[in-house]
Amino acid sequence: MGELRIMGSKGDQKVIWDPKNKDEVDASKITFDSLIKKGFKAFKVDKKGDAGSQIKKFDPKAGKIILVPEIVGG
Amino acid sequence: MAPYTSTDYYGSSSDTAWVSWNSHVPEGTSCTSTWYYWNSETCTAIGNSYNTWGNWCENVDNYTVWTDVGNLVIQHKTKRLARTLNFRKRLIKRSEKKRRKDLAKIEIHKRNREAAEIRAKELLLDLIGEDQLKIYNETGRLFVRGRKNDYIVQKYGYVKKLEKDKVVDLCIHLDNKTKYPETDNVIALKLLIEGNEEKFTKTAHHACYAPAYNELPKCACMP
Repeated sequence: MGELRIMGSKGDQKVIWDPKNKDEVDASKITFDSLIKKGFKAFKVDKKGDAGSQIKKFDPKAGKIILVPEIVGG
Repeated sequence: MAPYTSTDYYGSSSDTAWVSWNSHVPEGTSCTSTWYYWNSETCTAIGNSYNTWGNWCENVDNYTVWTDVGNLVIQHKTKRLARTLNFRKRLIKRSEKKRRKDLAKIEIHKRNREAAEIRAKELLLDLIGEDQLKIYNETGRLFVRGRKNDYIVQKYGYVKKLEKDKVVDLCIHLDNKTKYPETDNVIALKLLIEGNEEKFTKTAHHACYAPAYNELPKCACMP
């Protein structure tokens, strides 16, 4: 199962997909792409404790993707 | 002469008030100084008219009537003053209602933020594990290893970039960061350091420098 965690003002929102289910993968990809367009950054986190790596395209095989709003310098 | 203390005047018709006045003041309405005082205050009244009293009650805030003897006889709330007081009362009631509404809104906002922070900590728990989360809860700090440098990301305050001989304070955060739970800000910075350190250092503003730590402060770190 894949998992998108989208950060928001009410805490993160979870979107789950089954990599074998095309409809779920497509729906998750649409969500992913729309948020990337809005300026969110995506980080793939494979296993517990692993360092995240930034991705720019939706990877249905990624275990967990965290979508982070834009980061700015203070 | 005993002071006149009736409150009948307020809200009564002018003629009733007038009769009431006559029955309580021995000098009666013919008393020169009384009329003088009334007329000088209302400016329009004619002494022998019932309307005088009506005008009086309607248009002055506090009336004080003097007899020939020169004693203070009456000090009453008039209709105008009553209207002002009622208006003030309504105003206070309205602002109190608004204040209560605002307090309720603040309370809801506070509860939502707390719930959001709990969710953010659940996400951090997935990333660092239970033991490290305990340390994070205690210190509000997370140690993050980048490719070039190490960092301490704090729940509140600057990100500390640890260099060989100094500590650099970096100002970097989520855009509109007050909108998000504090721990989401920590997670976002951790991910950016690990995933794209170059972008992280380019984005951050270097606030100030300090000597290197003799001993690293207690922080949660990756297991």
